[in-house]
Amino acid sequence: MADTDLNLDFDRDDLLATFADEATEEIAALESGLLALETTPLDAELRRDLLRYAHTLKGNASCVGLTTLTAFAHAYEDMLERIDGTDLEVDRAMVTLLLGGIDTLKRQLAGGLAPIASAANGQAPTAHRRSLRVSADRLNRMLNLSGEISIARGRVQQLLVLGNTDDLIETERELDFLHGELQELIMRARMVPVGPLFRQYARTVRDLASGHGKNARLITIGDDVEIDTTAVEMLRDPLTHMIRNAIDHGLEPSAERTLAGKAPAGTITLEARHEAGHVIICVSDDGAGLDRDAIAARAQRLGLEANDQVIFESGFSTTDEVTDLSGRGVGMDVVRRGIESLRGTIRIDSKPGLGTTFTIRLPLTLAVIDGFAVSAAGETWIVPMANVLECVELPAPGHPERSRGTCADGRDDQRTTAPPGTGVLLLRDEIVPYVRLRSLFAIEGDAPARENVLVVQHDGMKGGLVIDELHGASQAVIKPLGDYFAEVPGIAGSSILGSGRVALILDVRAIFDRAVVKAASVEQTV
Amino acid sequence: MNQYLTFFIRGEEYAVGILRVKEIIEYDTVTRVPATPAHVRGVLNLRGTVLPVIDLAAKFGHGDTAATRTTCVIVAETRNDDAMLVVGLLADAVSSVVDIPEDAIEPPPSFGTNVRVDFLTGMGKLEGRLVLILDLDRILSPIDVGQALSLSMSSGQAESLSYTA
Repeated sequence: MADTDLNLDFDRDDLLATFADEATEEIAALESGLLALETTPLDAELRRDLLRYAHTLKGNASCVGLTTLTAFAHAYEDMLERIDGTDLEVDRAMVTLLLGGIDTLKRQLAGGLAPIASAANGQAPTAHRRSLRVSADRLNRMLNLSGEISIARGRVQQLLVLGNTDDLIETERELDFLHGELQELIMRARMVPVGPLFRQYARTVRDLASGHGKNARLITIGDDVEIDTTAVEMLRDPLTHMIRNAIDHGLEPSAERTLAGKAPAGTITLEARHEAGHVIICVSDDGAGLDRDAIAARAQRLGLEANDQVIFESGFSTTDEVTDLSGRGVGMDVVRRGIESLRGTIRIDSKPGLGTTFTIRLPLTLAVIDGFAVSAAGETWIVPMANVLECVELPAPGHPERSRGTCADGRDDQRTTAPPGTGVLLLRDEIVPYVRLRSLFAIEGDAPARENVLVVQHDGMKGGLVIDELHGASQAVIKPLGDYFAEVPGIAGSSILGSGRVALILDVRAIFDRAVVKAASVEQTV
Repeated sequence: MNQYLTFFIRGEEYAVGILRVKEIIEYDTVTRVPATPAHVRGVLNLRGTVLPVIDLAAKFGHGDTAATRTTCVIVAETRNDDAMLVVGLLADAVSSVVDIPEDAIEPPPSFGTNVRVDFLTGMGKLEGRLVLILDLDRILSPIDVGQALSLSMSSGQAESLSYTA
């Protein structure tokens, strides 16, 4: 009897934990849905979504026996239903009211779970249980791989007994490869999109702004950029700090904004993107910018160099005096430390009257990109798939679709002023400049007779990369080249190939920049 | 701690403090990194970490090391400001771990060594032979990489970029 009870308790704990996760998500979805409804009040689909979330929440709460929460969720659903049925116009006041309901739901969820959990465990529930959703498909692949590893291990054992070295080496290599693949899958499973993190701040922005008698909205860009789940946790506080600062001190009151010729409602933008082997996260506002005079005065007193970055200095930000004067810097050294603990960097850019942007650069230690593998000069290179447009064979020299540039053997055509290894292609009536990878990186050795062109683009600019061979698309785990290299122009990072060797990932933007600079320097000398 | 790992480069015996050495691995093909100085041999995969490999012979101006059967990579730690960098050092052959007592180490003479004097912390006398004790922090500061890069970038000429094979 006692055993059965224990078992039930155990199941119930699991059930409650799952419920807590799901309910938190449903409430968060309700919250961001409401905020979205404020901007598009007539979105019928959004209204139905809201109803669905509330309904699911109610159902789940009643399953685990949280009566108060169930009742409240039921009432909430009723309210949403009435709004939906009557085409009642959803205005700001109503959203505020509904958001107040969300807060009650949150409180009831926390309050409802606490006594049950502590009764079951005889101890206080842990505040935060970290969990991650992994698709069943992905888990199946992990399972398959671990199965294959088991088989390979068995084979290794057998071969060890037989003493067959050649087969043993081959099997070991296979085992290594399988293990690498499993590792990569697990790492990839840790990556989550930043969208949910970003969207949490929609409410923060709205509430803080109205608390300060201001009007502000949050725009998020790059919601589907994936970062490591640990980074998400560690970014939460720094982002809150920065957003709070932007609203407190960056954004002007509506009247002031109108006078300055800006929209009365301020905008806070959260943006995530991949760039040169890093994840970039920008927090920007369109407010008044930094109060440089106050910063300079304070920096001088502290004997620090007066530039914008000085606000990240500890001691600079913690003084009340400065906070009041400059209006910036509350906890900025805390922010910096948080970012640095992720091995990232942060910088601030501010334009008087136009706003302030914080740029966080985080290394992509675990990030995964879709890449296109090519080979040139005996090495394998990976081009981010986002840059790749198409592949074509490089027409032979003298072909009407190829202009000037270099001869097939890589030597310069004496008649041209184009820098070594560059030229122009006519691709379906479009003019595409190209650059040879081996020339760009000054790699010695002859190019093969037949070369290929990978047509790539960055920021609307189109160009060809001439390489030896095309290998095809694959996913690559990005690894930084390491601190020793600082920054290598044209290289965004590295990745480890199935063979165990390191392949470099090309930075298309930097390659274009380099090619342009080289072309310009040639023109000067002619 | 007076223990040192000694190794050979071009027939000369060098030493680094044993506490700086993490492991010694067999030399395998490295991936070349473009636009880096000649002494940066490239990078290799050390159990999932990308490890820069430095050719000390090239750094000392003795030309590139040709890989042989005994060529190996000494994985060592070097200090750069507060951060520790892990790099691989190419050596023709690893010799042994030896005790060099403090009183057997003398400051390097101001000339005559075939390595820049500021790359050395001292010269050790070991059973009647000389061992050059290297100052890894000096030799491997990433700053020289940065300088090499900014030079090559400002000239805008690919020709000035070295690319070691």
